[in-house]
Amino acid sequence: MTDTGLKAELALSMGGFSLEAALSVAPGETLVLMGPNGAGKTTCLNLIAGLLRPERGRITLDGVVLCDTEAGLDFPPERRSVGFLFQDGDLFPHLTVRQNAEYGPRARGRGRAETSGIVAGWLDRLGLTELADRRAKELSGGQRRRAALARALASGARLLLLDEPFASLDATSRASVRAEMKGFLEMAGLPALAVAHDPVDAFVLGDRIAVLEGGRVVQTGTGEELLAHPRSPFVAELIGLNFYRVDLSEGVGLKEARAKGAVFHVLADGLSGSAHLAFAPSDVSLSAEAPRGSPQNVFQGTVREIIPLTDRLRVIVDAGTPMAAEITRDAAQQLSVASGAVIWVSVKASAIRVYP
Amino acid sequence: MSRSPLRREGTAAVALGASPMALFLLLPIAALLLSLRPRVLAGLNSPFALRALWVTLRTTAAATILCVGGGLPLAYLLARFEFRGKQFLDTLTDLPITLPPVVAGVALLLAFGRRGLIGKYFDLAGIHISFTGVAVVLAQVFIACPFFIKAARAGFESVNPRLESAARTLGATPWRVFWTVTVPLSAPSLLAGTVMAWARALSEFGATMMFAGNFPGRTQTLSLAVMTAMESDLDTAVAVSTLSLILALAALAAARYFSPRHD
Repeated sequence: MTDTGLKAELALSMGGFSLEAALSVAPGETLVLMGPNGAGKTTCLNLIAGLLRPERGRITLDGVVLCDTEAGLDFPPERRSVGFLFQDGDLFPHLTVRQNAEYGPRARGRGRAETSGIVAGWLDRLGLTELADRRAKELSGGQRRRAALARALASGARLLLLDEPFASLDATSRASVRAEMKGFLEMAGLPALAVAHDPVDAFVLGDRIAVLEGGRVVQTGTGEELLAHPRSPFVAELIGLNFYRVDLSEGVGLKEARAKGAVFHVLADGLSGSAHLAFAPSDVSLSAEAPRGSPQNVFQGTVREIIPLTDRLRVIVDAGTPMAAEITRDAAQQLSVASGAVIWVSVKASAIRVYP
Repeated sequence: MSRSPLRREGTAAVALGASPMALFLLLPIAALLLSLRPRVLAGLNSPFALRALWVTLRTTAAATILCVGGGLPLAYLLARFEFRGKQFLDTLTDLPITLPPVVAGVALLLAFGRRGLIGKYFDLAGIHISFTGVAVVLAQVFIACPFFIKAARAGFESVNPRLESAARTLGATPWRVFWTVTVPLSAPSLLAGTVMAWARALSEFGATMMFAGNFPGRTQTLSLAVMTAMESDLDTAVAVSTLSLILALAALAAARYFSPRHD
């Protein structure tokens, strides 16, 4: 194991909130933090940047200790070489793009000549030379973010932190700015840690995604791994899956998986004890009468909510526990689905995924 | 006059309602300007008026510098930090605005006078503050500094703290961040506050009278000179008043120019 990249173990409690997270990011890798509001995503960034003090923690960057509470070390932000890009870039509005980029090297005591050399190089690499004499308000959202990246890189950052980097962009420019940022991050070759709300942002930007819930990392993996095996209600809901934490019985063949409020019958040879269970709403059938045949999982419940999607309806049924089904509008009309109606829900065992 | 497309009913009625106050404000100024005759204007050039003008410019300049120098850290403290006693400090910095200046003068005398709270120690060291030019400056600082502190605080509060955080991560110490980010971004407020403090120092009368006295060439500012002149010679009083009016107008114009809304 080499000493490169970011390694952070962080612990902090504030009011009723407690954070305990371990994160590591390799050089050239982008790790995206996802999670519901208040999960502690931005707090992680602020701790790593040194804008907040951890109660306990150890942060190293390329082997250099930035913070080690046990050793009583906690360097202030100006001594960490950590570039922080806030939502809109947060350029200094009273300075031009070039002066913004010069801020870091000047603050770190480099001479004028050396500074303009460094800055010219980064402005060139990020395609900002033409815009060097503009101020933030004369730039587009994408240009502002590029300028902020140039500023961070010119300051000698060894790690990039991005706090919802695409948050305030409109839909049309978002995709191109996102792709552009991805390219620049690859070019910079630094470890990068980003906070994202939007799953598409996270999946495009992140080589890996860490899901933070209630101050704990509940899952880390590539986007594909998360899609295939969500381990938290947050991720499942994000990608629209029915998701339950279950207790599996022993044995082979069809067996019981007990969730809170419902018991499923599933095929999960070789697994027992606590596990995760997921199925797609499109694999759920709804019927007015108890279904014939052998769907293995049949529940009776009441319709709680009907959400219109582009070509289908998403029906949330309360059957001991909430279950989402997706049906066509025709099917919904035949069933005369309405809020509060009693309905039968069925799922084939083969459509249910069970994983540890 | 261009008409705004915005529909406004009753403009005439509102204008009618507003005119008595506007006239009331205009009338005294007009009266002062109308009483200016060549003979009066000659009074502007009198040693009496020029001495008062010189004392005024000297003391208000010193007072303004002290307001800014002492007010900057205090305003920053109030704008950016939470601490016990903040409410108290906040009230304390507002108090000189509501306190009658004469009372402020008495209080200053009780603190810095020859037998005052700390003035007696100065006295032992052979330093006399009350009834000197220094006293004029201290009276002006006491009365005028809230105007700077309020404006500076509002200016600091309007600076996005994330810009300061960004500057820290770029390698700047808090001290450098203050001078390269916070101060430049709040410059319009700081300049407007400076001008307002200077304007308030110019018009200071009560506290100066009590604490510094009315000695021509040393503590007699324009305001005090007007009062002295009124006792003997209306023309000189008008001349000196006009000087004050010109300075007040200049201060207002400067405040307008630097005001954050100007941009």
